Amino acid sequence: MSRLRVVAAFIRRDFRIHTSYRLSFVLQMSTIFFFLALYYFLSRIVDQEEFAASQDLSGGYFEYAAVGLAVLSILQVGLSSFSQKMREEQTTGTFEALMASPASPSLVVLASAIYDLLRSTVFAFVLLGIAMAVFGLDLDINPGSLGLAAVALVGCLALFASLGVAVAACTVIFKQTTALAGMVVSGLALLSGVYFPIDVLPGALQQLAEILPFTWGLDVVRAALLGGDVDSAQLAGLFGSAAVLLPIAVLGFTVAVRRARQTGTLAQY
Amino acid sequence: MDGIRARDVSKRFRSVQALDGVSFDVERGEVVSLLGPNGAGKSTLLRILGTTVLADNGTVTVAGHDVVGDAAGARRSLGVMIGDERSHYWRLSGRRNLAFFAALTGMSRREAAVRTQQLLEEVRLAEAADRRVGEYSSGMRARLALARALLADPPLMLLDEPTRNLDPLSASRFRESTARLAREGRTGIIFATHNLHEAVAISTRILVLSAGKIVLEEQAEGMDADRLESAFLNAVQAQTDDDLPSDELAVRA
Repeated sequence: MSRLRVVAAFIRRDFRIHTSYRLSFVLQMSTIFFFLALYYFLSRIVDQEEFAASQDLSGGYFEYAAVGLAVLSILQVGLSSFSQKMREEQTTGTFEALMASPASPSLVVLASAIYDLLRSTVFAFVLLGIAMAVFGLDLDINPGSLGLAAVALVGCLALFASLGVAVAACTVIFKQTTALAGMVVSGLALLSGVYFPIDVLPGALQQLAEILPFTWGLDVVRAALLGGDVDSAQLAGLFGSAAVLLPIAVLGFTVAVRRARQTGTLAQY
Repeated sequence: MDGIRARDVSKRFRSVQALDGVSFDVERGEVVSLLGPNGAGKSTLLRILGTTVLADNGTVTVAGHDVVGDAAGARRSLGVMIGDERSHYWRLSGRRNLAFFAALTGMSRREAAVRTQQLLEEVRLAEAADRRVGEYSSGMRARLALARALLADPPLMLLDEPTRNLDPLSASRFRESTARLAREGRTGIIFATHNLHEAVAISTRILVLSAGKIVLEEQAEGMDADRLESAFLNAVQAQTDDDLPSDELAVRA
């Protein structure tokens, strides 16, 4: 019960701080619009029917890219928010106050990113909504497909959180890991079929892409929303990998905090 | 079981021996000043007590909880005022800052609201409670930090140079507020400072820390002021020598 209270307190805190910066909402909406416009016009140079047929999906390239962008936006936040929040707390001077509270350090770091993860999920749906309303995105919307997409998103969130906690553990030790998070996001975007099908990758990279859980998550969400066949093995693999990676990441974070307590660098940045 | 028990605590950071065999006790109702110059090991000692730094050797218990084996239990028994006035969320009001940290102690929203209001009144911030902390003065932020440390009504408190950003009058008022908490038997306080006069004004006992060692322990009652001043000045001198490059020390010699 008290863990839930802690998580709820972090969500309330971050919501209040976030909404105190009113311009940021407008700027984020504009960014979404520009990104969608970019891929909308890019899709005009792709043969829509041929692309749809090659992917066994009902939509063309714009549909493919829009869903990829929505999931990537959650990945970006999931991967960076744990370490980013911790670093924000360190630089603003609140980190030691948090670490001195009775809540466990691992819970504090996990809870501090929950609001950003929820917000990014809402924004992913807003992105798809804008794509439908403004750019005519054609999604296969029915209770079954939405339910499957939601289940896959939960798996993706757990997977992204495990990667994010692992990056946060590196932040505790090495302090500056923005470049690491950026490298992982761009690497996954390249390999997992966010912007283009992985069939176009060279053989070795394609094999690597096929064993990445992020690729499985993206494939399942796409198949659910774009009228394709959902691969249940990919869905099971997504949840299985998240179930294995998340505890390992939390354990790694606990070890990192202990090491930082030994070296006296926990609050340093 | 209420107090702090530190035994033979040592800590080394690479080439620097930050603490070297420090032992002391603190009981509820006491204000114990850790007096020493910058770099004497005061903050390291408070961080070990507060569980954010691990000692290399020695044992520390806080209200019976070992700070390594039961860090969460130790933190539940401590009110901590470490860090400077930036340790608040400046975009939130004082009330919301306190409510947030109250939740981290396990309080429900209702309990947090009641406790927060009590403390805001106690530290004379009730009227400014709903203003953003960014609009507070340094003195108000220090009082808010004191209220935060008191949220769980802890039997022990750690205050790390809490008056360093305050003007003399605000510092004096702050000292009076904290000393009253101890006099009323609500808590025992460790008060780290590098200000000799401040230590004398607030303490029931003073520990002089020099280069990571306790070099003098004096009860406030019947205190030998000359001996205390001499120990403190020696500690300052030792620290200054440590800070100077060796060639400059050779010239001085």
